[in-house]
Amino acid sequence: MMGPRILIVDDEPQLRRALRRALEGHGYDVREAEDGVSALAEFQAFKPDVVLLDLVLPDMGGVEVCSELRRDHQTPIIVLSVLGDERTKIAALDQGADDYLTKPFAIGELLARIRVALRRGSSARAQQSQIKAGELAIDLERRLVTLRGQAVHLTPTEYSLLKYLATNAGKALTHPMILRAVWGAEYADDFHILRTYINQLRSKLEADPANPTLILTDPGVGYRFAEPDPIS
Amino acid sequence: MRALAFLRQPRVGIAAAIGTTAVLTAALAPFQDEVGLLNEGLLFLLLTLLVSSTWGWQVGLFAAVLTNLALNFFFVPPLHRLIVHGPANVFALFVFLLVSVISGSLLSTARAAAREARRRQAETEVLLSLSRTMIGRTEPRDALIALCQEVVQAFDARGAAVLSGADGSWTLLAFAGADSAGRQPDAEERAMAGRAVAEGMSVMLGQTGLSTGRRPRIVRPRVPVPHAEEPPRSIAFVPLQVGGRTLGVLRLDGPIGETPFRDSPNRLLAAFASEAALALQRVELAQAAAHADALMQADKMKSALLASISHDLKTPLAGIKTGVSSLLDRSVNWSPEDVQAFLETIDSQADRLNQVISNVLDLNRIEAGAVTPMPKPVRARDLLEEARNRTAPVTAGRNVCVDVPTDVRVLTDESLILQALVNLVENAAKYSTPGGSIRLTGSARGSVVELSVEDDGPGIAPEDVPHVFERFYRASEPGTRVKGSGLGLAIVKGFVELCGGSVRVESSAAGTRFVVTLPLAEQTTLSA
Repeated sequence: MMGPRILIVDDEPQLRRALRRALEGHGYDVREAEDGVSALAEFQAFKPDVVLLDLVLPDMGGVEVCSELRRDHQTPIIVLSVLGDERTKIAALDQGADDYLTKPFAIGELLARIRVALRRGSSARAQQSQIKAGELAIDLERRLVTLRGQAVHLTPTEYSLLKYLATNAGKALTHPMILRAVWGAEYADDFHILRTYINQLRSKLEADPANPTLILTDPGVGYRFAEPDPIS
Repeated sequence: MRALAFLRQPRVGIAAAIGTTAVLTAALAPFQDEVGLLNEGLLFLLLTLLVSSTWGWQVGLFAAVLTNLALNFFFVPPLHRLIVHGPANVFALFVFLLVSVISGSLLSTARAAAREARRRQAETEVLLSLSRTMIGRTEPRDALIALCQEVVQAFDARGAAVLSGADGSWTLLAFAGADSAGRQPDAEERAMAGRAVAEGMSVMLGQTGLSTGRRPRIVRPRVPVPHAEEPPRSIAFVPLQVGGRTLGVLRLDGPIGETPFRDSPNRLLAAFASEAALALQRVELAQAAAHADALMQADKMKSALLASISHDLKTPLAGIKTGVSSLLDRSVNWSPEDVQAFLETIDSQADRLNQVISNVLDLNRIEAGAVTPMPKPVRARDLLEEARNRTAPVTAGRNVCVDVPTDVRVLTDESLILQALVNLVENAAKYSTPGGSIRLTGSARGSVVELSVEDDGPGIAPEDVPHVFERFYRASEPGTRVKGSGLGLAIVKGFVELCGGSVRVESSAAGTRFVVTLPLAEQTTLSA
């Protein structure tokens, strides 16, 4: 049985070895690369479904690898970093990485992130017309948002923001990414606008806006929409 | 100056008045009929005025009475008797006495005023020069030295010094004048300094030559007289205060010379004291700033250390966590090989974590001065071979050879140097190409032994070479992952230097060679 393909890019042989064992145990098809150049070569040959990317590599930065991969591919990239690499981590997310995991992590956490990434990577979601998360339902065709079956009135900007967050559910989204996507490139630095709209959305959609369960804060990074219910 | 001071004394004036009166009397007596009483009287008046102008009105009064008596006895009839005939002569003598007293006192007052004016002018000049000097000195200690020089000059003193430590720990900050002015205060001087501070005014010991003046700023000390065997001392202590806080004392070594300020030194001393206090305050502020700076540096160091080791700690932890959480994952039925592999990862990463922590602790011990080397003769070959054995896990896949004559022995602390060599080998493994070779060599050169660790890697960039032994320094090739905390080589340097040795690096494109130089052990009987 050959499961989804995962490429591990990390220069720590011991970590690669352990990760490989763990992922293969869960049925994934795993290959390793110890630096940026071999990662790009391996990517072309192996065509992985998910890339696990360490941020600091012997020959080139993980951010660089990220933007290289993103030039032609939409393959989900999960960044693995240690605490203290925050700036690099955000740069990697801005360059198209989908998620990040701070070392050290439990293997269960990594497996969950991989599952989310794989779902997003599959083409099903791109064509779906309805997103459901808990008691929230978004009908993308009719631009209709319902909470517990009740229609919720959203302004056009609030709707655009919610749509962007929900279609990228489970993925860590940096402030500039959201601002660029919803408001436009020239708003990339206006964090306070984003904060205001996030608060408005939370007050309309969350049961307890102070402890959100749908629109989650990713401290130091941005926001993340709760992992949606599996498509039925 | 001292001779002039002697001549100015009143008893000298009295003697001079007696002498000159006698001489004038003797000179005029034979010719008294020719000269006439009026002229004789005028000559004696002139004499009185001269005495009065030179020695002041008190001596002048004495001269007036004396000349009056001489005139009466020798020149006014009846001669050679103190009896005056005729009311006209009595009136003349009385007027003479009155004129000589009044004019004498006027003269001496005018002279005193002129002297005071000169003193004030000199004082102003000194203060002006002082403030100019102080403004020019940006370094507080320089300013204090300059101030001491000004004090010595103004008072023609033997020396002046500024002492700080109002808490009783008096220490010398600056001095000028004789070398003896640079002495640290003894118990007696500390007691006097303490008294000056406690009373908020100057305290003197012995004959400083400073007039106590009418103001009570300078008081007689109640301090015991110096020991008999010591030369008598004359010292004044002036408290230095800013805003009611005492920062130190000015110590003035007397006796002072004949200066315009001798008789009323207080104003000038007070001016010096306040300038010195301000300079002391600057010293204090500079020290506080330096202390804050040192704290900031230490803080920066700690932050750098944390940032540096966090990666080194988290990376092995990542391997351990992956292994452990996989083993705990019951959803997979791990094969014995899988379990073995996970356990090996956990084991090796735990070792690595331990190594990082040991490095940090080692560096901390070096910096705290808590490492005491215990040197003894050690065979160089044993050291190098043990270093090779201990680093076997990190040098796997590399050819590590040891080349050293068996009889070379070094005098050193075995465990410290071994750790240093291990760090050097690990460094070589880290920065050289996989599959390359590492050479450990040792040789005696005169009274020293050179132990070297050599790799055939790409070498260290020339701009990095001077910094490799600095903490947290890591060679910064562009886009290259910097491994390690940057502590390893700093520890090498620390340990080697603790053992009385030195370490240097030679690097080229063909490889890098670290050389540790240590003392050669005495060639005792060898059992090679």
